Amino acid sequence: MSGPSRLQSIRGVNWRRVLIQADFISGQIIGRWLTVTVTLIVVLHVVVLLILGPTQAAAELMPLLFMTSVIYALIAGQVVSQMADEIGEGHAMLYLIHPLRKVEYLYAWLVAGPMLILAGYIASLIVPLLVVDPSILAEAQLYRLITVMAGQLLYHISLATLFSVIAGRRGRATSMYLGMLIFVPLALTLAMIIIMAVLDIYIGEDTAFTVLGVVYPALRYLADQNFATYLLSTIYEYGASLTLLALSLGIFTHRKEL
Amino acid sequence: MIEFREVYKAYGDTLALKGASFVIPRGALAGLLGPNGSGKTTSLKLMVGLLRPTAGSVLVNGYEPWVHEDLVREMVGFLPERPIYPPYLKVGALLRHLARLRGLPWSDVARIARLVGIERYLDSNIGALSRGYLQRFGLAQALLGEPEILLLDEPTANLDPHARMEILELIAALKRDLNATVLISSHILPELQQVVDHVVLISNGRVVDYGPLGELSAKYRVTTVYRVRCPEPRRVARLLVEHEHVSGVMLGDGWVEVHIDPGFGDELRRILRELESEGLVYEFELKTGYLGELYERALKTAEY
Repeated sequence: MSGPSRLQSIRGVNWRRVLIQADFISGQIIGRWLTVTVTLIVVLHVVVLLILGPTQAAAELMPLLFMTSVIYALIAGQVVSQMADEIGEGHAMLYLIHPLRKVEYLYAWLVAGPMLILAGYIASLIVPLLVVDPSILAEAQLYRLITVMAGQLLYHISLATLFSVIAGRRGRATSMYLGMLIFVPLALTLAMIIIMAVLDIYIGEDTAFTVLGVVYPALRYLADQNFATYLLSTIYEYGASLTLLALSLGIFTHRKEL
Repeated sequence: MIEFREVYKAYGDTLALKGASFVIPRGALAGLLGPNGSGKTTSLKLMVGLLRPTAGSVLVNGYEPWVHEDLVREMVGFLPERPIYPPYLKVGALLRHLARLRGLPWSDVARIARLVGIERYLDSNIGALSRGYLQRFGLAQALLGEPEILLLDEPTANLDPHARMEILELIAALKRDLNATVLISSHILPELQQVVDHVVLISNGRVVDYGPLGELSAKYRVTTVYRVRCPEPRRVARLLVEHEHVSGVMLGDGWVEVHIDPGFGDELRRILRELESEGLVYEFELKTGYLGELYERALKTAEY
């Protein structure tokens, strides 16, 4: 039995259908609560920035940026889990019995999920600054920060997408075991850092930093804000994100039976 | 036309289909009949390209669904067995979206909603629909774009008897109106007897036999029902019950249904033609054979 090659699958994508499905996902499935959440975050940012004062330097916004990226990572987790539920509960089949190819369905989620979240994230950063002090937008460092933090968010979304696709196609247990391979060393490292900080001893800091950097690549740039770490972090974030998304697509289209 | 050629489908170590071969001609109203777990749903999913055959080939109007998934799904409407509709969405919103995927305007949605009788529920949440209306919604989404082929997986499952009859009558009416090829999968054989003209008999992943119901009824010599249109049903019924192979008659408004013993078809047709020449019969047709009996006999003959 011959099937279409991966390249053929991607080449034959009907983008009109992808956009229709993405529009539906963003409007009916995730749109409402995401809009409300983004609005709340924007309002919160405006309030925080007003309290901090209108002349904050971009570098001093780092804690805020970091918190925002954590919140958005949680939002991304929720969006991706909705996608996994849609596949797991069989709702995806409803769309796939109509003229929508499986690869188009996945693209629609990628367009509606990460794109919406990234747009929300950037809006959450830019809009408050425009309101409070537009002059900050002229600082080049701010754009570096936004690029790095957005990259980290994209990386988290891609990671979550991969695990969701694995959960949807290979079962939640497989996804959980794979997740443990990443998160157990991470949790151990965090625990080690906390213990070292409490005991005031510093052994293997570099190793701990490297392990944390696997999940939080922006850390390297946040620690040394220079062009070299900026380049290193962004290449890692965006490169790894694209690889993870390609891997998700590969798994979804390889075992795409429903 | 739907064609299976030596199709195998494995889920891990379990073989759901074991070399299934059959043809459903264009315009047929066919039943895919077999007990639960016999491979019916797998066959239907193969027809819309949701599953890939492990071996063999599936052709829908000449296209392989797995390869040309969007092309095939433009021609096919599918009613899944399990309701897979997100309960939090509105009926109208979901139908509108599915219509957009097919490039259809809202007027098509409104027309289909009227056709299946759910136009009053377009603003309701799917979760608020009763089982019967959920099935009507399923039919509506399957009918979008007036597909050439309609695949219905256990369309009457979990419905009360009244809703079952309603759905079956609706399917028969749709078949007449749309002139589509319809394939109904079911394990409840007696109710399909009323509507199908072709059958595919499946058991344990193997196709036991397939073909026009009349031919199979004759082949396996099962009790057969003929419908006779006539001006005087009572008189025709009296004449027919005199024959020893007529096991029963049922009278209707301008018609008689004649139940005959296996193998008596040729003899009955001869008698009916005589009555026709005398003006006592307008026309007659083979309505159906008893599906349950047909299934059992075919299974026994195939020695599964």
